[in-house]
Parts: sequence; C-alpha cells; structure tokens
Amino acid sequence: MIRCSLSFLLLLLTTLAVAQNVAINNIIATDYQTTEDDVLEIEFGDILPNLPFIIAWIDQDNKQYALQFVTTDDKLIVPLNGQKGWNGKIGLIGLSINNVSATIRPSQFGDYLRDFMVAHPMTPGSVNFTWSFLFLGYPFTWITLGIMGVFWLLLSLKMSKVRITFLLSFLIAWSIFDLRNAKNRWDIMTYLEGQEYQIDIFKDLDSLLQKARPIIGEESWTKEPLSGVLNSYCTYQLADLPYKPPRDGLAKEADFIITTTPRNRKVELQEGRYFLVRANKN
Amino acid sequence: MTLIVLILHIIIDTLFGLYVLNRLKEKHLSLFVLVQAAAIGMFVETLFIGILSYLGVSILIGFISFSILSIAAFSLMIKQSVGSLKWQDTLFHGRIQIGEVLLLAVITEKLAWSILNLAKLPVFFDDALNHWSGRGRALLSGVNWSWDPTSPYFMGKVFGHEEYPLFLSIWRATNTALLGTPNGASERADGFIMAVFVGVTVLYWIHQVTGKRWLGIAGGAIILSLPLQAWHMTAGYAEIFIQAYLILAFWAIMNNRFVLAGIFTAALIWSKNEGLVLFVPCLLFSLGFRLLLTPGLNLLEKVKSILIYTFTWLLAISPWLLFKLTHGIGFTIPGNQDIGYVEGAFSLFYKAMFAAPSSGILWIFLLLAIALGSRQIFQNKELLSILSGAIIVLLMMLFVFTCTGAYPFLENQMTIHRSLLQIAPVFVILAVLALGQSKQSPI
Repeated sequence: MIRCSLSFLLLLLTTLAVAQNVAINNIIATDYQTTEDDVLEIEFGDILPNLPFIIAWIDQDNKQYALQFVTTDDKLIVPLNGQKGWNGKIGLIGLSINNVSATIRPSQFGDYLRDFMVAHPMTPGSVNFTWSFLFLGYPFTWITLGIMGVFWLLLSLKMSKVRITFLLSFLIAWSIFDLRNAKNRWDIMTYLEGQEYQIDIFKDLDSLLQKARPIIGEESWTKEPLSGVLNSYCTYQLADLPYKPPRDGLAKEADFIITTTPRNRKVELQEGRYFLVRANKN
Repeated sequence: MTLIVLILHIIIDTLFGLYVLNRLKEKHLSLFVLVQAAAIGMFVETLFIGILSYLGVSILIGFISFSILSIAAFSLMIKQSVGSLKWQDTLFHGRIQIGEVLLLAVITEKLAWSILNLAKLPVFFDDALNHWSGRGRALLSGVNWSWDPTSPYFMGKVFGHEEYPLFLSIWRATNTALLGTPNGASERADGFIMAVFVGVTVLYWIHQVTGKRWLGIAGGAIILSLPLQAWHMTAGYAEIFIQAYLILAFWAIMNNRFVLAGIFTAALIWSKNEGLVLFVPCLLFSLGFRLLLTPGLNLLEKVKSILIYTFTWLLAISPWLLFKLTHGIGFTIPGNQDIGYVEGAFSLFYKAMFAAPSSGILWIFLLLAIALGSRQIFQNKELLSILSGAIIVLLMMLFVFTCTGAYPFLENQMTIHRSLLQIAPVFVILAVLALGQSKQSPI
C-alpha cells in the first residue's frame, strides 16, 4: 500500500479541471469497490477556507481522474457516483491537502443540495464552456426546462395569450437558471477576494516575471515550455521586452531563459518552481 | 486613472461617430444613437491608428491625430447643425413597471459583477493573453512586432495568429499608451463596452418595433444572462464584438440604412475573421431577402441598395483586406482543408445547442418561440428577413463544425459555444419580436 501511495504521489495530473502538476499525498482509500450512492465527505477542521485542492482517483485500468475544489469553513460533500471513471474497483483515491478528515459514505438527500451549491471554478486559460450543475443528480438545464413547462401550464390557465405566456414562463425559468450561475460567479469572486485577487496558478510566475523585468532590461529572453496557460501568461507579461521565440530557432540567441529546470545554468531568480537563468551562449 | 482614460477614449470615438452619423442624415440624439456613434468611432479610430502604425507612426501620436480629427469633425457638425440636433428618446417616457425593475436587476447584477471583475483581476484567459492583448502589447512596444512578412515577428505572430485582425489589439494598445502601463481593466474593458452596446441595441430595436419597453429589457436580460456572456464581457476575447456589430448591422439593414450597415459590417470583419467568412454572406442574404420582399421597389433600386451596402463595407475595410492580400495573410487560420461530413458530428452539434450548460435552455426556447411566432414572422418582412439571415448563418455554422477542419473545435468544445454566443442576440431579437409583436392587442 505504501508503494502504491508513493507511486501515486509522483503522478502528474493534467485534466480539463487541473492545468498544473499536483501531488496527491493524502490517500483516503485503496482498492475501493464503488457503489451507486458514494459520496466523499471532507471536514476541513482548522484549515483556512478558499484554498484550492484536488480530489483524484485511479480506476481499474490505471486511468487518472481529478476534480478541483476549494476548502470551505465547514465541510464539503462531493457525490462520486456519475463522475468519470467512478465505477467498478477504484485503485486509489486521495487528496492534495492534508490534515483533513475525509470518508466515503452512502449519500443522503442533503448531499445533493450541498453539491448543487458548490462553486464551479473557471479554469484559467479556458473560457470556452461552463460546467453543469446537478440537482438531485439531474442536469440543472433539464430542471429549468421542467420549471418552464410548469409555469407555462399555470400561466396558460390565467392568460389566453399563448405567445406571451410562453415568453413569461421562459423568463421565470431563465431567471432561476441565471440565479445559480450568478451565485457561482460571485462565489468565485469571493474566493478570489480571499486570495487578494491573485490567480493561484500565476502567483509564483507573476512574482518572478515582475522581478525579472529589470534584470532582463534591454537584453533578450526566451522560455522553455511551461505548463498550459502559463506559457501564454509569460509571453504576455513580457511582450514588451525583446523575445526570442523557440519555434523559429531564435531561442539560442536569448540572454535569459525562464524555466522550471535550471540545470547547470546561472540562476538569477527563483520564485517557487520557476527560475530566471542566464543562457550559456558558448 | 484607468476609468478616466477609458471614458476619454470612448468620448473621442463617440464624437467622431456622431459626425459620421450626422453625415448620414441622423438628426436626433438618443442613447442608441450614442451607442452607434461609439461603435463607429471605435472601428474608425483603430483602423486609422493601424494604418498610421504601418506607416511608422506611434500608437500615441496616432491617437492624438485621431482625437484632433474627431474634435474638429464634431465641431464642424455642431456648427452646421445648430438648432436642428435634438435629444429625442422615447425609451425613457412613462413610469417604470415592477416587471421592468426585476429585469433591470438581472442586468445590473451582470454589470456589477463585470465591473468588479475588470477592476480586480488581470487578463487570464488564453486567447486574450495571446491573440488580442499580447499582440497589442507587442505592437505598442514595437520590439516584438514587425510589418515585414519575412520577419519572425510579423504581425506579432510569436504571440498570436497573424491572420487575426487588429481591432481589439489596437484599442487596448491605445489605452496602454495613454495610461503608461497596462492593467486588467484597460485590456479587457472593451468587451464590457460592447456588451453594453449589445444590451442597448436589443432594447431599442425591440422597443422600436413593438412599442413595449419591457420586452426590450427582457431581450437584453435574456442575452446578458447567458452563462458564458458575463465571462466573455470580461475575458478579453472578441466574441462580444461580433455580437454587437452583427446586430447593429442587422438593425441598419432592417431600417434601410445601407451605408451604416456597411460600416458595421466592416467593423465585424475588423473584429474577427468570421466577420468576413461567416457573417457577410448571411447579412447579404438577409438584405437581398428584405429587398425582394419590399413592394414598390424596381430591380434597379434593389441592385443599387445591394451595391451601396457592398461598396461601403468593402471600401471601409479595404486597408485591412489589401494589407492581407499584399502580405500573404490568409483570411482564416491555417488548418485541415478536408471537406466532408464527420461521423457523429450532428449529434455533437445538437448536444452543444440543446443539452449543454453553456446555453442552458436558450436554444430550445428560441426554436420553439420562432415556431410559435411563425405567423407573425411570415406576416412581417423584417422578421422574415432576419430569419433568413439567421438561418443562413446557423446552417453555415453547422456546415463548418460538422464538415470541415473545424470539427475538432466542436468535439473538444473549444469554439462551438463561443460561436453560438456570437449569434444568440440575433435569434433572441427574432424570438422576442415574434412572441411580442402584436400592435392590435397591446400587452
């Protein structure tokens, strides 16, 4: 089991929800036989709210799955049934956060309401679609369609104008749908307020780039591949300093390199796992 | 300081736009006229600065030149129109109803959230970092930018696609030139401004046709409540630009303002590549259909209207199109050129429209609304013309996503929901007009 945990610790998770490498070092269960009403209950105890963390698991085919959440000041209940890869026997499930109490247990009615209210963060880098909210296990979109149908029926009993009752019933259902989305947006802002409006995955890199700017000065820079949107963030932040792009073979002319692997080059700056190193031109 | 710069920037653009509208015989002022003016001014200003930049003039000098031009043109307009230019806005007549207050509350929430987002957060979505703001920064600084097609820095292509037009990049670079340093608000506020244009256009258009203000506010609330809309109001992408100029172009066509429609179409092309590839054909079709249905016009008059529209947008956007042609820049980004239906694509398209949280039940409502209001649509040449254009653009989108190299963007959902977002306002206007238009029996 220890060997299994360690190997999982070294896994690099890259999913739609998680655009960076994360260590899963709090193992909740191994060789777990899933059921149709599994939920994961996490009590955070003294841990501060609004810290991002990952729930991850490996299915019987060794495929990895992950969900991203933030800590709360109470507890978090996540329905596992219906999640990708949650069926059959689960090799291992764990968290990227320690000192919490986490158990898998059968679901209760209140769990679905809690899950419905949980914030769905927007992943930096991608603003191409929004996530689905589930209410009692059903997509909220279909629930709003039902609400619209009910109101159309009710309004039709009171009013004879079919087209206007149709529009009004849509407006009511659409407003309810919108309320849930609005709550999500404000939840995300509240979370970011707790982070002093800094985007988690940019923090270290941002700090490095600010300090790197005067060091690079009028010399040139390039970067070695970073993770996902961090590449774009890096080039964007230093777009006004002479850049030697890797793709045209110009990178070898650069004076400085932004990287996560400094190797044997002179480190000028380090912030977290990011380095500004001087290029070995000779 | 950022707010002052943004307001100053918009005022300069609006003054120029008012001059253009005045030359096009607009004699009244209203909130909607101001929106049209600002939309025209933003387009002309960025194209003007783009041309000057190509000629070696800095962004800041370009903006100062445009400001002088704009103020001079506005002063000339005022001098020529003394006494004849009046504020005339029927929208604000009458007491506000409780239903309108509720709908306005829905809209206000989006605006408040967006303002907080703009004020507090940096640019953090990919395309904004690369294509729109990244290239804007490079253009402003000049160090990672070249107008020479042989340079690796040509059109800022080390940051984003060289094929993408420069409207957003130049408007943001101008903000930065005025501010000294860029920030999250100066590089994303344009999406918010465009969303206001969308809301005001929808509100005025529906009110203009139906005479019912609450229906207009409802139309605006429906669009602004799309789950992706608030995000895109602040994401720094071009989708809301497309929304705004598309419905402005449609409105102008339906109101026989063909030169104005041409200007808005040119702005559409200057916003994003699909402006030319997808939306020009749909607007042309819609215009043709409208003229076909207009009684009392002979063939010559119909051809003349189409020529005026086509000549205007071609002329207005010609610097960009000529630049593209002479510098070997494609009209779309390079990709898989194969044409042919991809197995299972219709099903994915269906799911994206009707069973995805990004649009919720909107498209189900829209199609049912059009079906329910079909009698009204077929009795009204304007609605029928909008419908014809809307169907064309939807069919073109269906073809692009299911039968071309764009299929992966349907499969991985990278652009399908954004594309649906672009055309949603046209369908919402159509649906609300079809449901709410009934002059014989006021609601």
